[in-house]
Amino acid sequence: MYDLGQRVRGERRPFSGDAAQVADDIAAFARLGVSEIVFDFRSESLAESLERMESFGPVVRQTAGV
Amino acid sequence: MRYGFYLPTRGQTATPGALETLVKRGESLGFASVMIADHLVFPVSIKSRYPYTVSGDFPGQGDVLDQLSLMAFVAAKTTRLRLVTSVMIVPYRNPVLTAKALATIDAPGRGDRRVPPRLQDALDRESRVLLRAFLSLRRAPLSAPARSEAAPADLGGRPQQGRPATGGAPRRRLASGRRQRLGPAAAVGAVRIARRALSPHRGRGARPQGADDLVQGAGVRPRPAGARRTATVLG
Repeated sequence: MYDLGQRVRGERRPFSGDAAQVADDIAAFARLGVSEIVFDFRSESLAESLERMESFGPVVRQTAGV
Repeated sequence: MRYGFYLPTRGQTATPGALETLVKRGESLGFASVMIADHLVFPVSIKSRYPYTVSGDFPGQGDVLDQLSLMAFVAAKTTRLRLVTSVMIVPYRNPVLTAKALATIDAPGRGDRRVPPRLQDALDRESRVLLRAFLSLRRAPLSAPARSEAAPADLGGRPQQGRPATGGAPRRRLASGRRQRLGPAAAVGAVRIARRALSPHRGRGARPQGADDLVQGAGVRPRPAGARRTATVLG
């Protein structure tokens, strides 16, 4: 989960964007057979790490049944 | 779908208070597992390109915590999260001490099992091969002046740009310039077996197992009572 704001070759990086876009990416991986995904919210400060983790909370709830 | 998150192992967020906050927040948000990376040593300066950042720079700074010690700390802070070694650089570790540490973290009688229970079964089943691999590795140490072509991350199976995740058998360059395989049993076999053993998704069932069981399972004949068992295992 590094450099999520940056595009690569003009494309959005997987698992970046708003919650709906991330959920779409997760659904795509689920269709391929993925059942567990590990994210990296680490940063240089605890506040930022928590913010990144909590921003993912809605995605966790939204895709729990995927 | 289940989710996990990485814990920091260095820097300002790798303090007891920050780590506990992250663990408890992740648990409350519904995450299923927490990942802890393994860096026995960390270069002061890294010029190699890191494949997971756009810039190629390795993120983070500071001294790095020991994986298993941190895992024991986290085990005392969570009741539900599964603890996962994202990678364990197995060839650098004493297998018996590693098994003992993992068994301690996953001590029976806690009431809940934090390290994936299948770990124990896998160690039991594969311990003989694993120990043989390590004994073989001792005969071809990863030490100067020999130089392994495979980076530690390679041995752990993390994908590198332009080549397969695990690659072939690591080789070392001899003083003559010739390249010598480290021995499949020593390097690739040990890592593959250990990764299988440490995977939270393999094997089934569990029974408590400590280092003594591992020694017996390896077919190493213990010395008489009172003898130094460590010497028996590794000698």
